[in-house]
Amino acid sequence: MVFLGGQVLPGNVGRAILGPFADQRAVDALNHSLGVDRPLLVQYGTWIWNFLHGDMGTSYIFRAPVAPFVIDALGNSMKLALVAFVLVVPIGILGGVIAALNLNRPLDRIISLGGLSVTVLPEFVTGIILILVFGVWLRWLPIAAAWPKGAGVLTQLYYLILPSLPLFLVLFGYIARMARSGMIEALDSDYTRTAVLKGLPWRTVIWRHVLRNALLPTITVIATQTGYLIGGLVVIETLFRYQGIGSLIFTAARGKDFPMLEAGILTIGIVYAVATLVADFLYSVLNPRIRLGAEQ
Amino acid sequence: MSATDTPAALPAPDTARRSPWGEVLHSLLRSGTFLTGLAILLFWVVCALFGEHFVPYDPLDADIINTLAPPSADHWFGTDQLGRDVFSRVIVGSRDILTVAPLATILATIAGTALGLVIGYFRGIVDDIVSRVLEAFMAIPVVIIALLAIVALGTSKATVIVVIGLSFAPIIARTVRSAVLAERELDYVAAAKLRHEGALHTMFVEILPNVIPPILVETTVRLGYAIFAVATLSFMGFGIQPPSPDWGLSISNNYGMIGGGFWWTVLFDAMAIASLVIGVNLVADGVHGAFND
Amino acid sequence: MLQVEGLNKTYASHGRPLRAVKDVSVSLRPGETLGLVGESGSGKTTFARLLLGLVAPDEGGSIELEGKALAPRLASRSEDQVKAVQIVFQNPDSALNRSHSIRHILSRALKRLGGLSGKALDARLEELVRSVRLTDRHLAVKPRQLSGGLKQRVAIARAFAGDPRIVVCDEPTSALDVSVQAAILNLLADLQSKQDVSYIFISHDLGVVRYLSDKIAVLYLGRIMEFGPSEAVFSGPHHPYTEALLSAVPKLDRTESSRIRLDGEIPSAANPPTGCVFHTRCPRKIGAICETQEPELLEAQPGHTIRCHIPYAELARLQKPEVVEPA
Ligand SMILES: Nc1ncnc2c1ncn2[C@@H]1O[C@H](COP(=O)(O)OP(=O)(O)OP(=O)(O)O)[C@@H](O)[C@H]1O
Ligand code: SF4
Ligand SMILES: [Mg+2]
Repeated sequence: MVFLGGQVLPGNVGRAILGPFADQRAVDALNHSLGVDRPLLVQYGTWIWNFLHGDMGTSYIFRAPVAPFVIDALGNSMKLALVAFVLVVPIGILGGVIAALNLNRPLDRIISLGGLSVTVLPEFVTGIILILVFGVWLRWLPIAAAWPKGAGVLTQLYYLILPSLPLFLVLFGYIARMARSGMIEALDSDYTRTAVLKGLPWRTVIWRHVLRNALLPTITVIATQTGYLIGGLVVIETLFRYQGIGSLIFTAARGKDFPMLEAGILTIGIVYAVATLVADFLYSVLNPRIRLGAEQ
Repeated sequence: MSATDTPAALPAPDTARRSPWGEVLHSLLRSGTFLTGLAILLFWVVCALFGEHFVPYDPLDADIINTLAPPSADHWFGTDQLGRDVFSRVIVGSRDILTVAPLATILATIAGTALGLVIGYFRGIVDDIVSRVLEAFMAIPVVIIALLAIVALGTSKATVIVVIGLSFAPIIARTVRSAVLAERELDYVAAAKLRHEGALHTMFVEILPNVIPPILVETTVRLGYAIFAVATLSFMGFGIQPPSPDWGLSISNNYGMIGGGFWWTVLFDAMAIASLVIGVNLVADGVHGAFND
Repeated sequence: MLQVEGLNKTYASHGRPLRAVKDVSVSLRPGETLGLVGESGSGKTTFARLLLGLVAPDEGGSIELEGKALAPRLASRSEDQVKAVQIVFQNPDSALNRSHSIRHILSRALKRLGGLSGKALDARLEELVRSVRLTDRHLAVKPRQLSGGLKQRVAIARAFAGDPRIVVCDEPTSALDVSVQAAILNLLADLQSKQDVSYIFISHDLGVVRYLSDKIAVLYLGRIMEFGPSEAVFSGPHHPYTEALLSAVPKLDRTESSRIRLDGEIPSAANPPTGCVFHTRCPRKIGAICETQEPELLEAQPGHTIRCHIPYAELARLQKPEVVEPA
């Protein structure tokens, strides 16, 4: 816990993420004869200071302030991630519970093995296959996540389903697996035995356990997979031509648009830190054992 | 046994017992998971090594009058937008990814093992600092690291190998470190100190052979991720470069047209990646199982 | 030859100090065996590790070997000093590197400790293997192909590779089958009679210690409760703790003997009782003084010291009837 806390302190992550492109900034500064005389550290300082005040610099390519692009893209990415989460959390938990209730029977095998297989596949591979199936052959869903301007929430949702599916599949494997093992443990516990002996209906017993034992792993997944998820967003947004933070970074990297790149990366760093902290916090609130441990 | 024991009274060494490695091999050969995965992997390795000799067409040969032809008896998987034979390209396309990903994995294993041995053995401040840095480093998605490194260093196979190798090294280092932390408490390490052995001898001769199993398991798992990463980077345009018939690269070049229904230009490449990744993961699963029962 | 003065070791356990070894002084002559007894957690292994230089003691205190000070840390001891003090560990599975062959293990020890190589090494290896009654057949294999007793013989051979002055035996038989324990003890006794080596023999079994030792130190929560020649410690009068330990040793006729037993858990070394650390379990406790004031280690007879508030004569009187009592 303490370790995780220390690790996600914004300053720490910020430095870790900013470290790698010290060179580029130097090169870039030289190229543009901008702030060559100032020490790198001061540049960073000013830049971060400005960043926190909403001034993220000016894009080389668009010759316009970076901030609106980044904020817009972040909003779009969050929509995408949100759709994926809203779909995957209940379905993943359900899958895990069904697998646990059918332990070692064919249904369990299918869910576990299937979940594992899709988890290990690159997002663009599942993405391509999904596009082919639902977009090209069945023609159920649009293949690009570019909805008409001013589209309503439902239309946007319709366009977002296909792009969210690869994320869904990756997360499904993790969540179902953790829910499954949590459930197996719960089914085996004394609590369940007494509850069943006391004559509580199965349904009630299972639901109580599902809530307790499946929520925690889900939060763990979110906490540990955020970084991975962000990597996945870069790929999926590119594949579906979606104007999110991932494709923004990708375009900026290709176009060597450093202010845009830096702003994008720092934004991701902050999102990552916040997500981890929130997950950590939720976890400690929900899990009495951890809370006790923290007090010692 | 009494006080009058003689050499004859002592039990002989039990040479019949299978060695731990024999044990592992034995359970690997009986693991369906491992054998299936191995078959898939071997298939692609053969394609990578000898594919160009048995494919019907040169994977790079363009045929401008026969572009985007659907699968047929002549072209089993159809042709792409330059009229190149997709089947031949898929077969030969295994070569680059099966060069780059294993090399990256080997790099990661060597660097990670050395790092993990050192921080696990010396512990203390070095361990604290390095472990923190590694944790922070691991939090950044590989794709992002790669993006930045490649912007800075330019695209080449070597860059991809180094980027993936170095971003996986911390994960291997973490595995090695925790194994070393357990090993270093064992008395044979104390015995080495009581012979005034140097740190290098203790780390590499005494401890290393005993932490090979977790390293092997982690390495096979990492190979799966390395293939994942190379394919993704190629798809993003930061990995293997044209004119290679690489799968990720081909998908990247052709997926823009799938709205037009030219599914064969991407489907087979996607399936190839999927089969290779799953194959390696099955192997990893089998190896993990064999070392842990 | 070996002179240990006021050795202390404080570990940090959960942020609190844990005095694993407190103010321990012992001495040992060439060819002698010092028995170190005490229950689990009394600091026997810690003391051994201090002596070997594997853990650094607290400031103060000293270890002298053959008149020369032994540095607290192994790394700063001379090659000769390192060679001079070796150990047979309790658990041969942990002590022998499972990846190395027996030949490798012993050759490496001969090379580093005996300074040998080539033909000389091979000849000495042969001799060493024979001295612990193993044969060539045992050299080619890995430790896991040997039984516990054979592994312990390898460990003993390794300890003797550099002609040590002192060999610490840390419960060398406790991990072994009862059937091979005697053989290992005999082997150790045999090796000692041939070479002029001193043993520090650690055990929680007084019966085993009695068989080998010239001197005995009884440890409780890191403190020496009683130290003296073997006969004196065994015949008594003894410290109430020793008395209790002795009463727990099964007599020959195997009937559960003795009136005095050790009741209750051994207190935590991190939080030792005030006064006499043994007072929570002492059957002879004499009152408040035992709970408030730690007794000194006093010389009862020349060379025989006891840490108890009960005067020596009184102890003798108290324990007299027990000695004549039939088991
Ligand atoms: N590395 C360590 N860190 C903290 N405490 C330790 C450490 N090693 C030993 N201790 C503590 O020091 C005390 C003495 O331990 P030691 O191993 O010396 O006892 P022992 O007499 O050898 O016991 P046993 O008969 O079980 O081997 C114990 O309370 C133990 O918990
Ligand atoms: S000092 Fe008191 S408590 Fe301690 S051993 Fe003697 S009689 Fe028992
Ligand atoms: Mg011990």
